[in-house]
Formats: sequence, structure tokens, C-alpha cells
Amino acid sequence: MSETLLKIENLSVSFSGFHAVSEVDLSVERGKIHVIIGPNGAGKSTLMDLITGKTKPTEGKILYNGTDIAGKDPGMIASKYKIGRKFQGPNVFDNMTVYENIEIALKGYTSIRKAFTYRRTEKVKEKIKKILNQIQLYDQRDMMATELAHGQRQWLEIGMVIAQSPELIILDEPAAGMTDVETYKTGEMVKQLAGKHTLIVIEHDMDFVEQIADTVTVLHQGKVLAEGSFAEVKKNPEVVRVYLQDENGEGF
Amino acid sequence: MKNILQSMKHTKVNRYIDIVLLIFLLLFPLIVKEFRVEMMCRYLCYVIFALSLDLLWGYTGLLSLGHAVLFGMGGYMIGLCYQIQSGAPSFMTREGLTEIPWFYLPLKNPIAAAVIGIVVPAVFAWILGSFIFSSKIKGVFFTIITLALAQIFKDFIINIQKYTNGFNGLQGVKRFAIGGGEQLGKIPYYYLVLFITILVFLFCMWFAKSRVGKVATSIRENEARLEFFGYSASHFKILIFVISGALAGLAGVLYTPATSSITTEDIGIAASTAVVVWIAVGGRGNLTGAVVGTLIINWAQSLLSEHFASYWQLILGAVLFVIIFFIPNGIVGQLLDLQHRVQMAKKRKIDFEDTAGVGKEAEL
Ligand SMILES: Nc1ncnc2c1ncn2[C@@H]1O[C@H](COP(=O)(O)OP(=O)(O)OP(=O)(O)O)[C@@H](O)[C@H]1O
Ligand SMILES: [Mg+2]
Repeated sequence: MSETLLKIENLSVSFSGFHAVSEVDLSVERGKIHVIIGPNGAGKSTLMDLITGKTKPTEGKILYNGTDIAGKDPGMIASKYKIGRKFQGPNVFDNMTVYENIEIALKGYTSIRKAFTYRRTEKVKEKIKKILNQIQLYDQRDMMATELAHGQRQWLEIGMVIAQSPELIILDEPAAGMTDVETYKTGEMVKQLAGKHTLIVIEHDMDFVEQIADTVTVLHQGKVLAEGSFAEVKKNPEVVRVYLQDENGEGF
Repeated sequence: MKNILQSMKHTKVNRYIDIVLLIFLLLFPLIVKEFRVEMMCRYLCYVIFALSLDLLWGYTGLLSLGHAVLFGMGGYMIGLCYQIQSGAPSFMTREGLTEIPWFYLPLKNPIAAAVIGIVVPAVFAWILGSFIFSSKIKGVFFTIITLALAQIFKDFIINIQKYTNGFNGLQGVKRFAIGGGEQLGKIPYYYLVLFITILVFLFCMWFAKSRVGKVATSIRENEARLEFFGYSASHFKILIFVISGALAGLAGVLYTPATSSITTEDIGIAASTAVVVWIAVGGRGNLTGAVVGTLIINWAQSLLSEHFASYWQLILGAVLFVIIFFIPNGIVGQLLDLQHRVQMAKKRKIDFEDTAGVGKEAEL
């Protein structure tokens, strides 16, 4: 029996009448990688906005470790509830070095008082170095984030999320725009994080999904269309019709 | 020896500029006439003022177009101090104020006035910042509000003539004559201001390197992202505005004795935009740029006006335009950029040679 970390119940949000997310139920198991797929505009990113407090739901609950976090503010969800998020498309601090980007994200120094007492101790340096190695950017540590290649910027943001030491990590299309080799490397990085962390990953690349997923949920027009292992979902005729076929013009 | 060379390579170019400037400023009174020292003293006060705005604009990305308000608050406190030394000044008595108003009494001591001149703008920044940053007002609106503030503040000072002498401003300010004693000589006062400028510069350097400074930079780069790491950006913005306000006030406190006067010309929109131009020319967000820009433009302004009395503004305007158009990072910003690019190119070359030596890069 595994334990549920996040339980979403009947969650909905609408923007001036448009139901971007409607009546979604979802359970995420602790330590697992839960992938969410679905066509463009299905509401995947919006669902993450709801979990991270960027958007307030019109209805429903987001139970996290048993506490309803729906509607709480982003800073609190990040620091108190330890939910870290990588946004869709790299979202980093451009004119700061790779090292500084990771450093700013470090957990535990986000209040003014803590910011004043922060020192680059050996322990902190070790931790940053470990993360930089994990995301394969140690050699690029003195480069500005804007100078990195697209794929490396995605990794940098993953590194920043790791630095937050979150319990739940949300990755919105982490492999978008990457070469096949980079995508594969990203998959291995993500798998390394499972266990210690719980992950929700949004992705369109089916090889990548197959590489990492423990569970897959398919969203379509704001609703859950199917859920199960990658093999199960892949065979689901509904899913093939609305998503997999649309993507490639044919089934798998 | 090798170590020293190594560390010199990694020192940012602006640190060399800092050191050259420091030596130059220390020796300056020995090589020029006294009235030039007096001018430089005034420009050093402007340097402190520019540094205060660089923290806010260069580092945090919050452009204030009303920063001279905070500068003026400091300057007026010292100005008033010397007006009330021997009873109510003529601009008060003329309007029927025969007694010094009670709230001016603490200003009578120059040291107390200096402290008040720093605290008042800081508190003002805190109140204004709490309003602006705790609401959803973002980016350009901060700039617009501060711009409006500059106009309002200037009008206000002009209008309450019996308390401020209106647009005539305050004259006859002494260089910190304490307890009825002699005021400081021009040269000693220059060194006092230089010493304080150095302290402010060191403080700003420490700030920029500190985590608070890095948070400031992240606010500039991507404030929305920062919130998702658990930061409350508004708290940091208020703090930085307060620090900046205190430093701007300090600049004003030192400036008024340096020129022996302060008027409404020193506190309005024109004064506020001037400092923005100085920083833009020198380069923002690296401190040295603020210093260099302030000194170059102010000297250029006065030397040009001495030599080309009729069309110096045209020359200066054209030069400023060319600089801002062709090197948007500013003079020092451009140098830093160049150095960074050379370093990165070298590093890439070394990396390339390394991997070429070992053979094919290991696959994952
Ligand atoms: N704040 C908002 N205001 C209005 N409409 C919104 C808002 N956020 C999302 N939407 C709409 O909700 C729908 C779902 O968008 P969402 O970004 O969640 O899709 P997605 O599944 O992440 O798609 P993609 O694969 O393209 O990233 C879209 O039609 C989008 O325009
Ligand atoms: Mg999306």
C-alpha cells in the first residue's frame, strides 16, 4: 500500500464562463512520478496553477498531506507546504549566473532576516555543487542564464526547483524543445528525483512519458479522460482518438 | 605570484576603475584650485545620491523619477537648521511667524538635523513603499507615482513659504559649525564627504554581494518567479526603498553645506531625471557606473558651460544621446560585458582543448 500525498477533489476553475478545469479528481502517490498528458489547451498548466496558488479555484479541494491548500498564496505553498514548480518554458533569472540562480532558490533563506544571516558556508557550497552536477551545469556555473542553450535553461530551472528541497515537484513540459539525447538525459534526472520527492510531470513526448511514468492521467477539455499505467492509457481507445492520434496523425 | 596574477584575471574591471578613482579623489585637492575642490565636493554628494538610486533602479529594477524628493528632505533639514540658529528667520517673521514652530526646534543642533535628514526620507520611503508594494501596483506605475510625487513635493515646498522660504530656497548654510564654533574649512569638508562617500560605496558593495542584494537582482530579473520560491518580494522592495531613501537623504544632508544653499531646483522632476541620466550613462547595477556617470556628466556640464557658454547644452545633449543610444549598458556596463565575454570565450576554448585531448566526450 502506498500513501497519498496529494488528493484533488472535484476541482474546477472557469475564466469568464470558460471551464479550463472542471470537476477534476486526482490522487498522487508519495515518491512516485505522476505524468499528466493531454492535447494543447486541455488545462494541464491551469491545473498546476491551481495547485501552486497562482490561480484560485472556483470549486473543489486540494488536499495536501490532508490539509486543504486551495486558494492559499504562492509563497506560502512554496515555503510552508514545500511544493516546487518548473514552469512551462524556461523561467529563470536571466542576467544572473547559473550559480546565483541555484543559490537564490535554496530553501530556508527566503525571509529578510534569514537573507541577512545567510553565508556561503562549506555546507551550502557542497549542496549547490551537488545540484549543479545533478543537472550537468557545473562547468557552466559562471555563465549568465541567458547564455545557456535552451535545454540547459530547462535543466537550470529543474536545479532551482531541487534547491528548494520540495516534497512535491511539478515539472511543466521539462523536455520541450530538447534534442532526443537531452530528452533522455532529462528523463534520467527526473527518475533520480523520485522516491525522495514526489513528482507531477506534464509532457507531450511519448517516449519520455514511457521512460519515466509510474501513473499517467489524461486531461481533455478540462476533464480527466483516463488514468492508469502508460501501457493501459496507450491502449485506451478514447485517449487514442482525442490525443495520441491528433498528435501524430496515427495511433502508436 | 602566480596566484596574484590568477586573481587579477578574475577581478572585475570596475574594481580597477574604483581604485584609480579613489586615488584620484584623494589627491584631487593637492592638484587643483580650491573652487574646483568645492565643485568636486558637491559632485561627491551627487555620487552618494546616484548610488542610492542605483540600488533601487540598477539592482532592483524599480525606476524612481522622484528620487530628488528624498534627497531634498535631507537637504532641507540642514538648510533649516542654519535658518533657525538666531530666532525666527525673516521669511517666517514676514509672514507673521514670530516664534520658531515647535516641530523645527529639534533641527537646531546640526548633528540632530543631519540624523533627522536621514531618518525622515527613510520613514517616508517606508510609508510610501508599504502602500505601493503591498498593493498590486507593478513596474511602470511605481515610476509614474514617483514622478507625480516629485511635482507635488516641489509645489508643496513652494506653497508653504512661511516654513520653507518658497522657491527662494534656503541660503547661508554652514559646513557643520557645531555649538557656535567655526565651520569646517572647504578642504576638510571635502575629505569628510569623500570619507562618507567611500563608506557608502563599501556599504553598497556589501549590499550587492549579500543575499538581500541577490534577491533584489532576482526581483529585477523575474519578480513573478521569485514568489514561487517562497519569497515575499514586497517585503524586500520596501526594505530596499528604505535603504535607498536613507542614502538619498544622507546625500542631501551633505550637499546643502557643500553649496551653502538648497532651493526647489534641487528637489523636483528635473533634478530627479538628471540622476537617472548619470546612472544610465555610467551603467546601472554595478555601482562604479553610477560614480563614473555622475562625475563625468557633472564635470562635462560645468567645463562645457565655462568654455562654450551659449551652446554647451546642445553638445552635452548630443553626447548623452550618442552614449545612451550606442551603449545602452552604459560605459562601465559595456566594459564589464566585454570582459565577461572574453572570459567565457577563453573558458570555452580551454574546455574544448580538454575534451579534444581526452577524446570523444563520454556519452551518458
Ligand atoms: N488566467 C487565465 N485566463 C483565461 N484563460 C485561461 C487562463 N489560464 C488558462 N486559460 C485557458 O485555459 C485553457 C487551458 O490552458 P492550459 O495552459 O492549462 O493548457 P495546457 O493543457 O497546459 O496546454 P499546453 O499543452 O498548450 O501547455 C486554455 O484555453 C487557456 O487559454
Ligand atoms: Mg501548458
